[in-house]
Amino acid sequence: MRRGAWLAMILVPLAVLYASLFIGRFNIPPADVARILASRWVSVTAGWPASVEIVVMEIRLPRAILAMFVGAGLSMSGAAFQGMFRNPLVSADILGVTAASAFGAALALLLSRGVVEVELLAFLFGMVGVALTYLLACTYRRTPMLMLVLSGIIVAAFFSALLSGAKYVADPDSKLPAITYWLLGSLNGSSMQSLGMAVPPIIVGGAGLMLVRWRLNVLSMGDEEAASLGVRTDRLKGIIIVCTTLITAAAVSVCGIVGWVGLVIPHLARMWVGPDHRNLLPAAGSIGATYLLIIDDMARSVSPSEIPLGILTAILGAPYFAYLLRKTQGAWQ
Amino acid sequence: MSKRLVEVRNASFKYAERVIFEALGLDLSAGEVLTVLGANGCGKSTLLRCLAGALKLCEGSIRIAGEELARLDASARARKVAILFQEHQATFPFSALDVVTMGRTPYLSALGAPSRHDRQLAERSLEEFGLLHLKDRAYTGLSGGERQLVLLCRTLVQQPEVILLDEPTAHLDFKNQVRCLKLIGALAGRGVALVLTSHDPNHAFLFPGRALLMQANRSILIGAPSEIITSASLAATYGIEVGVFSIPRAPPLQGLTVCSPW
Repeated sequence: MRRGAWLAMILVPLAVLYASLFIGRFNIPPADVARILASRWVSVTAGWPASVEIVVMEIRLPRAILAMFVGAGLSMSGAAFQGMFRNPLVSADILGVTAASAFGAALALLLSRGVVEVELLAFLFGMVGVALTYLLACTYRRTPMLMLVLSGIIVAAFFSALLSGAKYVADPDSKLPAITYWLLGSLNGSSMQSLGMAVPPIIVGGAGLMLVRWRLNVLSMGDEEAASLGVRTDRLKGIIIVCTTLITAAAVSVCGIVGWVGLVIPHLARMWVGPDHRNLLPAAGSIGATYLLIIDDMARSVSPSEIPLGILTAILGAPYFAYLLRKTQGAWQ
Repeated sequence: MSKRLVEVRNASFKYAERVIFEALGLDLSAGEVLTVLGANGCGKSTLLRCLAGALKLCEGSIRIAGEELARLDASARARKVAILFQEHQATFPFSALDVVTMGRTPYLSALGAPSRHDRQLAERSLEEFGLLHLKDRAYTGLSGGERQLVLLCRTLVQQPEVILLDEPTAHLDFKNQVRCLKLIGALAGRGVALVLTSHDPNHAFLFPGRALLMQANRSILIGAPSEIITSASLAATYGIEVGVFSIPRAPPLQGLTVCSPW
């Protein structure tokens, strides 16, 4: 891949990050943002009100960074799963992680718990859900793809039913709206704390995927063929599942269900750099980070009240995916 | 005597109650080609998978280049045995060069990626077989014949002692069948042992080596093609009447043997 592409992968998300700090309903001049950022390292005479610094450093910056990590993580997981399942229509929630996380969050909201407990429970349930899927799919110490997919459907259906149950018993005046709003996905209210909670698992999972990205190429040729080329396929699948689950559970736990990112972005990345996961994973991460950051900027600035992320990603993602599908006639080049 | 690469001793394999082969013994030397013949569903592919270590024998042992196959881990096995399966599904448009480079995977560390040297090896093997023009083409866009040749190149960069091919000429047109068969002959000349399954008994006569006939009554015949491929043995294998004919040719060419329904 050309060096320009690598440079673009790093610089474009950073540029959008900078823009995200001055874009918003509370208007801040770009120059002030630059000065505030610089004041962390060099002494700059403060020519701005303290409230501006709070908005930039404590509200917009953590939120923007979180959006980038979530976007990058979901896209990389989606790309890894599409390769592993040899199916470009798969995304990170195929093993039931989203449904299980959603139930975990709903349970915490039902019990009137705070933000930290909601995030924690969502994360734990996500991990438990995928573990269930994996155990269910294990036959004779192997994990055939078909078994994984079917087990994922079963586990997702089970947790969806539990979620419906939680909604049914929730107080319709206070808790039901909270659950519903959480499910729509939002980065509103993300703090340094949520950053500390979601970013480490996303980094660990992302790094794990990056380490196996060549073997992921070989695995995408099929289990049997990969095994004949010396890949221990069941172990590799286990590693990929653990990594994507860490990422997705962490992402869902801090911002609810954000659909479409993990499905559409890998396609975009594949169109840009081709199917080789050595380039595809970084490209998907970079595009995903930029995309979700832009979406989140729209979510918090186009209307007086926040628009849930899940609505925007689907409203933009679905037509775009339809366009891609028509244009390529389903040939996923 | 050339190096003995495959030693099968008293091997048997069955699916539940269905016996595929029993008490099979077989030796293959470097440069030898074994053509496995048999009716649909008789277990040719199963035999090949056992030789690749993808399926475990119920009894007996297989040694590849002196080492017990069952004791090798996946990459050590892949450095000794390469196999091309009959069914191959191409999902993502990897370049032909990337696909050939995948043959280097057993030589990489668990988290490693191919080096420039690995890519050069892949490129050289494409060049050797006159396929270099395909190198940057999306593998999904190649014709069936080109794809098969690219996959054969991949087995080559795997640098195995033994190459197993499951119906390598299936789905190929006549020209590509011939190209593919010639390539297989060239591979045998490099000191590997080759096992291929085929639906065409004539293939057995094309290579220096023996034929293995999996007959309908579960008995297995192994021997020189000219000795074991007869009207009677083909009838016992496929349940049909065919003739086996010798066609003399002027020296230095050797005579040909062909099977024909008439």
